[in-house]
Amino acid sequence: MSEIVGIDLGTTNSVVAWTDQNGRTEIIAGPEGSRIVPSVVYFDPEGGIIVGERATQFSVIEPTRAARLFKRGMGLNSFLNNGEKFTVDGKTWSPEELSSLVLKKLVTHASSHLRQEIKRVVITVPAYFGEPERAATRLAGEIAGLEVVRILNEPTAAAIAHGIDQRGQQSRMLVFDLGGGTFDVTVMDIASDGGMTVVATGGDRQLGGADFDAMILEQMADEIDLKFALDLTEDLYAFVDARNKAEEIKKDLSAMQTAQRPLTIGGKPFMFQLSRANFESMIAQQIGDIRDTVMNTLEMAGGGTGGIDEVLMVGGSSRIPIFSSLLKEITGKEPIFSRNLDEDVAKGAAILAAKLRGDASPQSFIDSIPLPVDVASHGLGVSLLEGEKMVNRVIIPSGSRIPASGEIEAFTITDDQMQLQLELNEGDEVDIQFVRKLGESLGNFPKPRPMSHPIRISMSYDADQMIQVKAFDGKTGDFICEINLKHETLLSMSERDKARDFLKGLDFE
Amino acid sequence: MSESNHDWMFVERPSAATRVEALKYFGVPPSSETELATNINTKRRRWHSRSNGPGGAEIAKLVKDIVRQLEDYLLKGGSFPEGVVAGSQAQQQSRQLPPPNFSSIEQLLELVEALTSRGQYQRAIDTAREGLNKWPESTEVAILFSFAVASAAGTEFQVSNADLNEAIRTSQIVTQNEPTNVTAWWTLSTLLAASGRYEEILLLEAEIVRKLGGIPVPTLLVIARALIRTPDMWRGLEMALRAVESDPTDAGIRLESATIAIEAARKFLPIDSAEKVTDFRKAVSVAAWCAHGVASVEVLVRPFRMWAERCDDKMFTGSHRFRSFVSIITLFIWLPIHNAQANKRLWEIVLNGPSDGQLEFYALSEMKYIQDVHAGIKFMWLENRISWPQKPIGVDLN
Repeated sequence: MSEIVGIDLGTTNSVVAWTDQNGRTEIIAGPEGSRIVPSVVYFDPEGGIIVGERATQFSVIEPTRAARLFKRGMGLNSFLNNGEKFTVDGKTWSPEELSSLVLKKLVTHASSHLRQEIKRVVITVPAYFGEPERAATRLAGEIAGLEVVRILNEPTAAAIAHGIDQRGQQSRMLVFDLGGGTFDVTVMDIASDGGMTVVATGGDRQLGGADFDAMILEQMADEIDLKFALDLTEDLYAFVDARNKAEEIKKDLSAMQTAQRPLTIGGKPFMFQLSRANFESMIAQQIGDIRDTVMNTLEMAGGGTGGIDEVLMVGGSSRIPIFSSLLKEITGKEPIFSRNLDEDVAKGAAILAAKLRGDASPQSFIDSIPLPVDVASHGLGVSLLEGEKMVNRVIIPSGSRIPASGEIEAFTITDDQMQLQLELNEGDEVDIQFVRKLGESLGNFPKPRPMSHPIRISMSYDADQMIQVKAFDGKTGDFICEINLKHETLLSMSERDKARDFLKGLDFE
Repeated sequence: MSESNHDWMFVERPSAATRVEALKYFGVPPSSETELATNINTKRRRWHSRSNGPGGAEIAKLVKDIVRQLEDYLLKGGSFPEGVVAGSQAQQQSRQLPPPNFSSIEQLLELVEALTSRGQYQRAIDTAREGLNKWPESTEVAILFSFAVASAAGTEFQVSNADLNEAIRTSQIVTQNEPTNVTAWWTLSTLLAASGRYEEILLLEAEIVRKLGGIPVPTLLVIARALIRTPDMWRGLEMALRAVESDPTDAGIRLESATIAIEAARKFLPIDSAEKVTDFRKAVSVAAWCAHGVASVEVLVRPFRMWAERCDDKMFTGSHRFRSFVSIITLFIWLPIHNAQANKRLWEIVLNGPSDGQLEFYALSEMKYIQDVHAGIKFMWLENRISWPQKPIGVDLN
């Protein structure tokens, strides 16, 4: 049986872990000794590609040759703030390709550590990731030459690592995962046999510790402008140094009331100081957003704020004290912190990987872990004309257990209608502008139909995460058209093959 | 509640830059104004959720931002945010007045709102009265008329007694006919306060509790301010505290309550007795509590806190040279007696002013917070003067 490792492919940092047959899990460190690999890729002018800690260092010297926070762009066209694609030396890099470089680096470490080639992985994603983002993550694995045996929700992974499933106790848990680049809140039910079901999920892919760093950095720039009339952004080295120090200050403020760091700008020394109270007022809007997300998710889960038995804090930025206070205020429960905020997601993925490997020793706890139940993170529906307005009619609502299926009846909208335009949407909203179109298809009726002729639309979402939508004539049962969607991404097949071939020839130390 | 009753939840922008439209944007009416904060919260959360959904995030973020700005305007005393109204025509409406002729109540509401927001109070009152003559049975128009007068009464605009009395009568009728109408109670209490009819406000308090089961915060603040002007001042302060307790996170309520407490504290100025020191300190501590956590309000209260802290301190006002002399010749026996005689409380020095030529007074008057706290307070020594005296030329206070 070939090895499987668990990977937390994070926005700012990534981690790989492995669990042996006896259930012992270890975080695999790279040759530099670091257990956490920054999700940063640097393209050196000689054509070399550097991933991780050294890439972070090089990014200080040449920031335009380094890519970071690309997880935010998974399944989208771009991850850069200006909406442009990341291009170095004339080559454009998609978030999937950049992620595949990180995966390749992690798997190289694991292969060397375990002394065998790793070809199979479990990768974690935020629970609220939709289909395109999940498909993009799978693709990143494929490009790296890996078989992604399972995409696992990060909060579920954190709960497994925390041993939540091993307590034989039924409970409802809120997992608050505030990482470097994304925020995820999940309400899950833990059954007495340890089975975990995601009941509701919410989040923000554009919110994380990196945003707080950016706000501190902005404050630094303002103070420097005020004191020296100098523009921090014009001094690249000072800017990158300030960016790193902003992150350090944020971390310090989790433990201290005031933090300070010296900076040098235009040869002038400057001591930047920030109090926790000022930091909290600086991020007040984000705190409000997080509160709203938590409240919305609790509402979606039903049972209100009082229905939560436990709160588990995951992700490095959940160390910021205001968030545990906020969660306590909302749920009335004292939050518990994941044992290791930065590594537990990877650990959970590794434990599940060991279970999927199927060679666990009978004495270990691994076999007693039930496989997590997959649910649709967003609703799936089709576009229909209602009155004069196009709406999204949800067939499989969010939270439905996968495999799921459903059916609705629609009607032709004109006399002598010949064709049917079928559109598959992701989202639970009725208003079409707030859903995402995943696919479309155009089909013909065998013969023209009068207005209000019935059409049967069926949808299925199988365990392999294949979405199939079919339309039939409601009276005759004749097939009209269908949409088959499996791991669709923005990259074409030839682009994928090209990227895969490129990575094959790439060596990481 | 049916979907149509929730239509306001999905409206992306208000259709005009008026308070009425802003309220409508949050479903008031059909909801009452007491539900405003809840509705704002619901709408903000709904659009926040959309802003993280799979589609339309940019529009949703924009709407969320509009909701936040209007929340500021409606609940925290901010100004009407610019450029948030729907469509170019509506944006033009925010700059130009609606047509002066109205054929529907809606048009009248819009016109009066627009006039009020531009400070054209008399025109707003006259227009609303015109509407009242046209639709004498309409509660909405009756409230609008009273509201126009109440809005004017809260400013420097001199509302005539006739207008005030008419608006009070109208409001009284509305509160009798629609005892659960929150705006009507607010309007009535505001008008009574503007007329100085504080005794009636006290009676109103019990009636509102009876009819509504409690006093809505905006009305509570009006009553609190009115009570400050009566012998029942401390109860007014209690009400201000209650208002803050109702939503400690609301900076607008904190500001309003703190200013009420400051107004109360100023009643004990100038301090001329030990009792007044105690009372002044008590009122200032209420103001400080109300201001807690809101930097802009804390700044407002800070000079009062400093004076409350320092006013009872002692300062030596005698002659240092004479003290040294007396000390030596009496072998320091007389020194404590001399000190006791020459030491004065700071409030005494400020009260006595420069009349007896004390240099210590000038030293104190150089402290900006002392002048800030006493701005507009009448002192005997200040009569016939416009401002506090400057230190005499050639006098070195050091």
